[in-house]
Amino acid sequence: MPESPPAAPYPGQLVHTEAPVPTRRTIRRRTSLPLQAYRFGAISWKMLQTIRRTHQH
Amino acid sequence: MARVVILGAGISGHTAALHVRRQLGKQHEVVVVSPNADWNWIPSNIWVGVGRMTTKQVTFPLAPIYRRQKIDFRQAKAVALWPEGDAQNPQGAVDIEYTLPGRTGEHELLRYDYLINATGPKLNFAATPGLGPDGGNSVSVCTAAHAVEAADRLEHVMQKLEQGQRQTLVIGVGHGTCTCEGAAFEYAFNVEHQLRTRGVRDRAEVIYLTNEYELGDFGVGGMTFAQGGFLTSSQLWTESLFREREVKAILRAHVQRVEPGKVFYETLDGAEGSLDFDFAMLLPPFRGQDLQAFDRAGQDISSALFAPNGFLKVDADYSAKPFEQWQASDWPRTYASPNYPNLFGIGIAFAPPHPISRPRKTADGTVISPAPPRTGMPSGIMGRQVAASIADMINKGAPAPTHTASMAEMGAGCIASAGAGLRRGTAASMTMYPVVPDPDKYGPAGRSLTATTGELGLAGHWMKHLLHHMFIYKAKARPGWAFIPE
Repeated sequence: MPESPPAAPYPGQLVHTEAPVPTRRTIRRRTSLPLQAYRFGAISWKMLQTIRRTHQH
Repeated sequence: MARVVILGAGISGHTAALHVRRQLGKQHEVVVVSPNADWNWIPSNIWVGVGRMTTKQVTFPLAPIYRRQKIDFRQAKAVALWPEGDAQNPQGAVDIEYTLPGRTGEHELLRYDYLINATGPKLNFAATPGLGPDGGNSVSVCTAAHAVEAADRLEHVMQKLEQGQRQTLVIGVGHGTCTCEGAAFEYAFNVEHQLRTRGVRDRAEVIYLTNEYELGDFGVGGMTFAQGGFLTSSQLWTESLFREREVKAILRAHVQRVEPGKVFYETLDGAEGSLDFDFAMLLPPFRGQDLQAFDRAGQDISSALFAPNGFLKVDADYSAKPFEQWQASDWPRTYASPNYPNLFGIGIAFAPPHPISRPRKTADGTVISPAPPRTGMPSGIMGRQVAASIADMINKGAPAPTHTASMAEMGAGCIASAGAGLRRGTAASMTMYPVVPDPDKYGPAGRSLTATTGELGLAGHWMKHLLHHMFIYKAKARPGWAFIPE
């Protein structure tokens, strides 16, 4: 797991974030072909729903 | 016979042209005026900018498509609008100047019955000294040609990294009022992905320089997602990706100038800083194209038609009001000019009533907050709906636009690539509804929690590839194109 970014030499830099980093399992799931094939279908469905909602107006 | 003239052949203008042509009989004329000979699927320019695609894969010539569709194409730029006509003729007209080789500089006064201004943005590199590829010190991916240059410079940096030299890559936006932070985000993560693919990531520092107040703002004020039984934010989600991929971020920044190898910026708290870089891709701010407008007597009425940023005023509520009083109803619905009902502004060319993200300024008055994005899906929907309104006005004699496309009633799907590759690619797939938050309707989140979603993964990369091919197919007006939604 990468460490949080070090203290900033630049003004405005995102010095520290508590945002969670993904586990190795999550990263594997992001590139798992069967799971991603399923997610592809899910994303397509969500896109179609967004289009449907938009065209209701 | 009616003549519909469309200025611009980007996503909104080209969509409007194809749809209005489809809905009008042959006795009516559709004319497209664009200074560019080619159509460009701009979302894929980021892949050209990292050398994963060629210009040919993201562009195609417009003339053969328009010839087949019986659309009159003039390769020219609009320079002046005469919405009341001129001394000779009361019919509205637009003065165009040809950019077509062989006719360059030639002017023509083109009369119209309906005019759609879809001229897109002027890439305002001049707003920041030293910004941009044409005589400046940074690169851009706003056009396919810019992206090719970016890829060449990036390859040079890659070679230095392979030789063992450390390199700093700064990617982001080149002014406090920029929009399209999503594109900068995509490019940053595609570059980072390329660095890992080439095995040189450990020698490269990647810094994302943005005007966003928080990561994940993307010019839409961020998003709230319901995931795993919790409400989470696009900020947390985006920060997680930055932390995972070890990309540093400088937030709330306005770039003051770009010198060779050095970018100077100030942040919202008034601090000033500079960054040495070996490679800098910084997007420019946008403004309206250099269009003037005249009344019949030849008096300049540009300030009545256009907002100070050069975008066309449409049926929005432009009255100045504080952030707390912004409403969904401020946003335009028909995109018709309030002064001239046969004149429309769509895509980036219409003047938004205000930003979507909360506006912020430094103590000295420097604006550092994203302008609202209105590209991609919203642009296409505006084009389609305005085309339908014009068709109804011509075919059925409708006295006013019959179709609406408010960004406060419109959803958007956004696939932000975070690395290319059919097996190893990643993208953030986001849907939001509506684009402009409406807290009165959807509560504090401003958007539907069921329709506003986000996830990271390879599937998003496949989706972006699919959209690339699907929209180029559609833009080429291949069989069944009209069934493909915007």
